[in-house]
Amino acid sequence: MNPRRRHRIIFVSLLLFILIGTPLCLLCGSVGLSAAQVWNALIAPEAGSVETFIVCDTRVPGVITAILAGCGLSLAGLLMQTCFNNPLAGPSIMGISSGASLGASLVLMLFGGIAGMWGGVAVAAGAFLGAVGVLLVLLAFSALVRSTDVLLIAGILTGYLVSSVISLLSFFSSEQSLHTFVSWGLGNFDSVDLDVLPLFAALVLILSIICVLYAKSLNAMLFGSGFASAAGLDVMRVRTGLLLLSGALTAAVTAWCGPVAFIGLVVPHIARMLFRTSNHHILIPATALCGAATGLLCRIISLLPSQVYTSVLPVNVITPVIGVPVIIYVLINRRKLLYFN
Amino acid sequence: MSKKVLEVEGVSIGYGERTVLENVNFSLSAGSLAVIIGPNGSGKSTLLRALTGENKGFTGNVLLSGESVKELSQRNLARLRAVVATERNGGGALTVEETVSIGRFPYTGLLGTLGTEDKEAVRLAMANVGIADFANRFLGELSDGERQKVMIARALAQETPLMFLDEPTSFLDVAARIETMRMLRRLADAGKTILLSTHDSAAALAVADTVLVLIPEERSVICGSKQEIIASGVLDRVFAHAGLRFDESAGDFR
Repeated sequence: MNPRRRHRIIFVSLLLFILIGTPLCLLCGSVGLSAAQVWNALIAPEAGSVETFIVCDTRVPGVITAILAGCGLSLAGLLMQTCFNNPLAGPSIMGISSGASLGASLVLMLFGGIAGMWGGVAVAAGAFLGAVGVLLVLLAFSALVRSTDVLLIAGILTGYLVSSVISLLSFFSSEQSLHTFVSWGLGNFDSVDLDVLPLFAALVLILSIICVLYAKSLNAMLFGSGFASAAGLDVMRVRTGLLLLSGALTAAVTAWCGPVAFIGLVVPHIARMLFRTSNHHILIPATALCGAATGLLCRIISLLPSQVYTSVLPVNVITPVIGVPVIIYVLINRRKLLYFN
Repeated sequence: MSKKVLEVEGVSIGYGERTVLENVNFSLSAGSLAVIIGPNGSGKSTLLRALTGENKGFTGNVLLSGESVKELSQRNLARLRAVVATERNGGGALTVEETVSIGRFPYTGLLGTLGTEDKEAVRLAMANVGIADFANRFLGELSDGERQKVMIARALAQETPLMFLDEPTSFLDVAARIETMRMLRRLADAGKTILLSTHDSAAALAVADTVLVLIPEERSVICGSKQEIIASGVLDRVFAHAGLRFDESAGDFR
């Protein structure tokens, strides 16, 4: 099939999935609402109405957060995989999610919760600082070593170190703080309320758009830093920019949704396999869309038990179920996959 | 007198305390095909990295079309010289055309959108090395020889006066080696200045007009026309430790 036609069909299919999945998601939840009730709450919201509160204040932010979080984490993973020339790089592998977790846990355990917009912003700021802290360590390493493999290992080791600090903090924290932190650590898309949603959406969307500006450089980096440099790329500057951008995307999502695992690692592979390309001019929007669809799928699955048990499954219970088979498939078939050659 | 595309003036280079090459001087004019020959460890790649501007930690001066490599930005450097290295992996799911388009990197804007001139340069580069027919094939589906042609086309699309190649035939079979060397000769005849390092001395000497011989014991480089170098016997001296002598009639070492 003509590659352009293939790309168009997959883009449209993913958009259709999101367009159909989003209203379906609005119908799911612990309180049973009919399609008509959801529709009425959306087009004619009434102040004080229970349906309006459930749909507009809870379900709409939840589904939009899931879509944006999936998009942001997937793009962060793609940037890291190309930057490090390593298909197993990702925000959680590189220790950036751990850094964000450490920053968020410090805020959560010191102040005891994430209630209200400013509570969320404080956690976000903590997560961002934590992620940037790990990034600075990685950048210091990148100035010392040229090998991206060594840098990847440095990231993994930094992640372990940061996790041990989180464990220490947990050990000394109060029961309530620990409960809040553990719940946050399981990952969820419900922490973003209607007040915070514009800020969260603006952050993820602006950072995602900036990714597009790196498509040209990322294509040159596919062949390694020596090639990219000979082609005219200032490798150090671009690598620093990519690390900061992927760190900011990871921090923004982790701050509100917790350290969501596997999406950043797995979705870029799904996008490469579906679209059969390594061209980042196509791959960046493709990964964003695949990530959005994956976030939505996780949201729908997490809501399924709520019909019976009135509770929502944590995201990190679902993402490994989707992610692990994909990674195993990729590792087994890496010789057959074009983008590995 | 034809224009000097590459001028190397008193270049000394090494690692830490160890000097690999001392006081290297030579120049290349437009349209010449020069080959660097020397035994393993004599500093072929080290010299190439200095000339391409990848390693700027040397003393002396390297001028590309009259401009010092030490003072050029990566982007401006990429407008004066292209490099074909030995990488065999990466970009497997890029099409041939997408890969050749990377050669336009120094000329395109932030988004990398190709203009009419860029598309024409890519088309010409593919036509020049005979890969226009498989422009839409993926890089990961090509043989080593075809992949090398794509990399040369990518360097051509960069539209630089000078092209460096590091071991361009190392992964190729005999037929592909000869084809690659002939193609480089054709490109030089069309005005491109080419400097390559290789272990494949026979194939390189068959097409080169200038030869640079690296002599590790003296940490020096002797530069001359192919005829001068062969007549001087320096090739026999450099490879004497391996018991090799250059057979002029066969054009190869015996």
